[in-house]
Amino acid sequence: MAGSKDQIVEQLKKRIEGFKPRVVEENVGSVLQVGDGIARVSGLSEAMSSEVIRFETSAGESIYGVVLNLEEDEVGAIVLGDSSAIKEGDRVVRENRILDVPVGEGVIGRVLDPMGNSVDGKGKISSKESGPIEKIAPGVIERASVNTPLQTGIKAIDSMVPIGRGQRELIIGDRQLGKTAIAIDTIINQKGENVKCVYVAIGQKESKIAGIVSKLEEHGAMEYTTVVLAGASDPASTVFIAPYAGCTIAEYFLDKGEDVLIVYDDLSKHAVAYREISLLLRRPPGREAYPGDVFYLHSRLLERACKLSDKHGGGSITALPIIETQAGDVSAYIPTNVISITDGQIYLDSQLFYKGNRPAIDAGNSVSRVGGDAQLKIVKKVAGKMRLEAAQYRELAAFTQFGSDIDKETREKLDRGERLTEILKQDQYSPLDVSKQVIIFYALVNGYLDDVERSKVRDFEKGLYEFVENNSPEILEEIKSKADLDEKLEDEIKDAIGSYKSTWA
Amino acid sequence: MRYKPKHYAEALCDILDSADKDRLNDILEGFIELVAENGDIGRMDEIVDIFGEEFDRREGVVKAKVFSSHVIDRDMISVLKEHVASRTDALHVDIDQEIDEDVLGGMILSYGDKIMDASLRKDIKEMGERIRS
Repeated sequence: MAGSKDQIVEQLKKRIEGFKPRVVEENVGSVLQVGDGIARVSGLSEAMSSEVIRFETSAGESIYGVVLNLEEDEVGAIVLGDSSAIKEGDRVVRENRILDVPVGEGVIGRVLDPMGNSVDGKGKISSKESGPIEKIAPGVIERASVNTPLQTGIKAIDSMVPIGRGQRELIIGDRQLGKTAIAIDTIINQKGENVKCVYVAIGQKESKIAGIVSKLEEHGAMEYTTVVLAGASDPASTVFIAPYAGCTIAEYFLDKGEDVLIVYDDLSKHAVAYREISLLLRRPPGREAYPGDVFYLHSRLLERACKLSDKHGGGSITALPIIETQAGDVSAYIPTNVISITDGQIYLDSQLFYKGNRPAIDAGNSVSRVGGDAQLKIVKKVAGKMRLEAAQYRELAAFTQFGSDIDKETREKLDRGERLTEILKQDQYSPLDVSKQVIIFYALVNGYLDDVERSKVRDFEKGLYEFVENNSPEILEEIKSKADLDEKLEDEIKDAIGSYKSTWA
Repeated sequence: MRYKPKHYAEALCDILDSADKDRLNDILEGFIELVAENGDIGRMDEIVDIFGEEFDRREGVVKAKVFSSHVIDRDMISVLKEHVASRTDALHVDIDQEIDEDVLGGMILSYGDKIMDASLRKDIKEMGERIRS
């Protein structure tokens, strides 16, 4: 006991002896006006844009803020904390740094707020490293083209709108059509794929996020996932910085040469938060009252998603931004902006959703501009024409719904399309391995499903997976390892489907 | 167009710079009339403050304030004046002294929007933070 007491005294002595008083000159200002998460500060003549400032309240508390507006006589800043504790005349000090968040292995499996504080009740984040939330995206020289697929486990996406590692693929659609579900399934499917995941909840209901986190935990996905949460009740300033903070967490792994998947759910709410801040800072409003730099707001964020060349570590950040449309209007301001920034979009259609086609991906309006290059050869060979067939089927079905006189060829197309639609249906939280996807696509494209009743297609599919797993599991392994379709493998697949079909009848 | 107090103060400084001394009263009278006509007479205090700052800036005068728990001697004041002059390119430095017992020891020097805290209060606070960490 006495020994430990001496030790404590010794430690204190060392700390006191090691203390050297220092005199620093600080650039200070005082609060002129505060409210709605915004503060106007006089002084701070040397403050820089995006710099962190510290509000010293009369209660002795320190609250941080970020400079956004540099004006002739004053500075406009967002307050990252309880702005009601700040009073007029409170001292404000420059921090000479830009905002940073903790990064590293310590943030995996955790739920953080955009400032890097844990909100999951599991204690402080153990990470010692931190990264600035605003960073210039990698340049042309550092990048490589997208060449490795990122399997979402969703049949409709992996076959028709494939996503590559380092791609930015927008998920767009009205509310309640399953946008978040696609992103969550994709995260769940990264288990064992060596991909770290970051889910950024921007202005989402906290109950929804609690549900998502528990689902991710249930599927073992929190082992490689970080959740950054800016809730619906958080101030606009916190919502505004959330996606940048999430991207910084992802960039730590990118710099280590790892692959990362980041989901921004959703950027519509991010734009709204930025509009609120801009209007309060009295920046001139433009179209739909958004400020002039709302395009740059998202372009500088999404440009940070990239595939680096091997010389620069070969890491990648795949971004899945989500945009919520109003009544399917993709030509509104923010949707068109983000569509033009990203490398493609997955469009969710309300009609398909209510017909029971879930995920409600509209093959005609969905596109992946770079993912095709990264798609596995075997998937490309087997499912190459599926997107076109699905789109044609929808058109034909719309045309022929009132007519009874249909020629044989059209009838066949319609039958095939109906089966394709059934195959593309998939339950939530059940991503499918790529090898099984190949087998069912092969069966469909080569007419094995043509004589299966439409209502039984999903049962057939389920049975086929079980049959292959039990009787020829080597095919599944072979598909994964070869990633291409040669004659031998094709014969094996044919045999397996043929044998299953003989038992099915 | 609505003018800011800074606009009035700068305009008055510009006119006074080039005006004859005999005409000062006329100029000031005219200036007050103009401010009143524009409906800004209620902002006169603000205009006067900014005029003072602007005038000092043009004359190379910097006003500083030093807070300490005890009276600071003349030698130290002149050292502080030199320091401020070197940091601001001032031709003349005015230093006001204020006794603040909360400073405990040392001093706090403030000029413009800069503060140099060399007080014992700050040292104790920092040492406390160090021990706690």
